[in-house]
Amino acid sequence: MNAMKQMFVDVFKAAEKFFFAPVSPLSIGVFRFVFGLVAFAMYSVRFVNWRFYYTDEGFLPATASLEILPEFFRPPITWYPADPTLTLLCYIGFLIALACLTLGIFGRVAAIVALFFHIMFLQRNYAIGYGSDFIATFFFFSLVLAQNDRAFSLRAWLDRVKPEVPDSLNQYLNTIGLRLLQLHLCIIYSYTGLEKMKGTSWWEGTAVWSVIGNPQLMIFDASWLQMFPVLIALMTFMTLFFEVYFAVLVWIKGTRKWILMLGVALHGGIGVMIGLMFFSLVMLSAYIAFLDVDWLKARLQSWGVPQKLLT
Amino acid sequence: MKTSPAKQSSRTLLKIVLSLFIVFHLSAVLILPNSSSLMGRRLSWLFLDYANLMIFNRTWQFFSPGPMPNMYLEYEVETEDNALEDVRETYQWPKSNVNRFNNDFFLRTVAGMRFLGSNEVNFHKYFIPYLCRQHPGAVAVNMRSVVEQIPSIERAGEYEDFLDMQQRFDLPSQRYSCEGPE
Repeated sequence: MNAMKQMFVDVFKAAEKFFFAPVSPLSIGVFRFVFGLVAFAMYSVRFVNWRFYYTDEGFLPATASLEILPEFFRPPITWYPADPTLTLLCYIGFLIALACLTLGIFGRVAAIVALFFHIMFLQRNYAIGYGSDFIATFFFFSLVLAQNDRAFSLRAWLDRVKPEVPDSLNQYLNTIGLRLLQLHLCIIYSYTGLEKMKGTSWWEGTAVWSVIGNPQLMIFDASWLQMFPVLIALMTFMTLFFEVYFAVLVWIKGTRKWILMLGVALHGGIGVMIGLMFFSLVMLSAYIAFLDVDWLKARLQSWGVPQKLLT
Repeated sequence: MKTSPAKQSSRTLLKIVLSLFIVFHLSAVLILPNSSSLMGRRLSWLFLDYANLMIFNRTWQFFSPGPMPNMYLEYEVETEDNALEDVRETYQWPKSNVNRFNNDFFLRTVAGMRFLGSNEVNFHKYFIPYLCRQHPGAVAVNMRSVVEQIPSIERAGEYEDFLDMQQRFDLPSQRYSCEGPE
């Protein structure tokens, strides 16, 4: 009984440390910069077709935005505008918020505004959303929780960050923001890995061939890989292994580096071969949350990043 | 520096409140992607408004249970002038991906087609009128889904060209009025 009680106490203490112990602001700061940049690029590219995506001239009338969703998924409130001029103004506002977020100006406020607009545009046309959009929602959320501009930001560059330790609430939220970022990535990989295990093509090792042989998906012809079926099977099983075991191996110090490197290879391949560049970059940006802070600091210093951005 | 008891208890209270939020949030993002499960059926109601509002309600199914085959729509436009003609121009949606290095638009149109195509009423009510607007004078479209399967890896070597490998299957054609479903 005592051993059981002790185990509960240990688990409780470990959870408390995990979610509430202070963390360096550098990880979330660098993540904010990289993810912000990717989100800014993603929405800038989409801006070319904003009328098609988000006005009644395009794909979906505003009156249908909610109706196309199965009742189970309908949000209790929506805030997208129907007027095209207002939509355009919101889009410009969103891009400005993303630019501020990337640079590290108005930190949490910029993240709140960005999340507000991000959800708004998803609500307006859910049909055209794909992986990178839905994952980005979780990442914006982490940036809303944490004081994301305490390091690696314009604010830090201009010496506007107060040197004192944040108050309790902010200190806890900084840690929770970082931890949820890490946990969301684990949950996404685990689910997609387990979902893949339902599919025969993943079991028999041919799923990667179904992608490589599909000209609608591929950026260039890699069908010559059919000459190496064992390689195709290996790539399929490695993908499965990576996604199913990421959530475990990334927390073990000895395997973290390898699983992250495998992830970089996987997403690099997806980005280059299938052209899912934004999806890959969004996913990879979250890897920053798993990097050792001292290592990250040393790397950035070696690239000539000024000390005041790293403290 | 010693913390006063009042400050200590306010910190503890703060941790309790934040812990409840963490448990609630993580339960939502863990349970809702599998909402058809027993847990999902029993507990979804607790998290649904929060998750739907924040769009945390997603399932995570990238290329699962298996990569989808190449799929697009082919259609002919019926106008009052050509109603009696046998041969009409055939259009494709989405158009082939022309910009290989920025395929964001293409991927989104594919996503949109699949999303609306998963519900016949939405498809007819919203997608067909959009297509009709692209062809002034259209009164109806005759449309079919085209699926292009690739051969198994063992048989792929029989083909000389990448594009020749595709095996085309036409699903039954259907006539959609531009005025929407009756």
